[in-house]
Amino acid sequence: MESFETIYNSMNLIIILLSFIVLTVSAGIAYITRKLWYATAGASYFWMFLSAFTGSIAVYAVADFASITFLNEYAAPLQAIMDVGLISAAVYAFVASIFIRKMFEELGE
Amino acid sequence: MVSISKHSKEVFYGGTVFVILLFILLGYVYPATQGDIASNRTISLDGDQGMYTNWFAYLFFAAALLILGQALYSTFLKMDMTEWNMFAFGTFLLFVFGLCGVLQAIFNYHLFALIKDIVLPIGMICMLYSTYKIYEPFEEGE
Repeated sequence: MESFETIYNSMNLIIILLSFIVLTVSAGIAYITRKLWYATAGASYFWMFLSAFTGSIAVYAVADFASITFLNEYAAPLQAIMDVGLISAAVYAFVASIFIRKMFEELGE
Repeated sequence: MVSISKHSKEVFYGGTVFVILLFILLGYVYPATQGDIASNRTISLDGDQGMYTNWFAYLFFAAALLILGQALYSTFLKMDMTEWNMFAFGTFLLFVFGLCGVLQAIFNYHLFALIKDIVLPIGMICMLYSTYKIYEPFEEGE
């Protein structure tokens, strides 16, 4: 049986394509959620934080895409950008979950 | 779309616990290879300390996604808003992404990195589809 390392290395082009898909799709989600925030007239900050969350994942995807395609020599700083993107995404997701609960508490009243 | 409003709590907790146990079992079947340890891909006390920042970032991401998923399951899905099912599935796949990021530094690096890279775009596409479905009525109203 082939080791996972050879399978991973043989899928190099597919992984580049997948990270490009993540980049475009997360930018698309950030755009739609931003429009949703304006459509609800800022009624729920949940949409704003969800938009920031997907924007952070887009930052992660940009750094990932750059590090595996054309900026391989800057792998260490790009890894740091990916970590910051993940942590900020986590913070925004946490705040968004607080706003979901707050929104439903206001609806219940 | 199928409604899971009656059993949203069971689906959330059951699914999360099942996936965590499954991935840990997978990690025991495929432990870290000698190549992973030699090239500093696993966390160790005398290894590359930058790995810890990476590892805790993934851990924090997985925990935050778990909290976001719990908030979604206890509000939107419990109230039978079916267009949020796909969104919750997307957050679940992002949680799996964070979990694989945690486990790739403990068990077989390339196996979990492969799952991580495949799961993230699928989750993001699910979230895009779902947010577009949620946005559609607002677009008509304008």
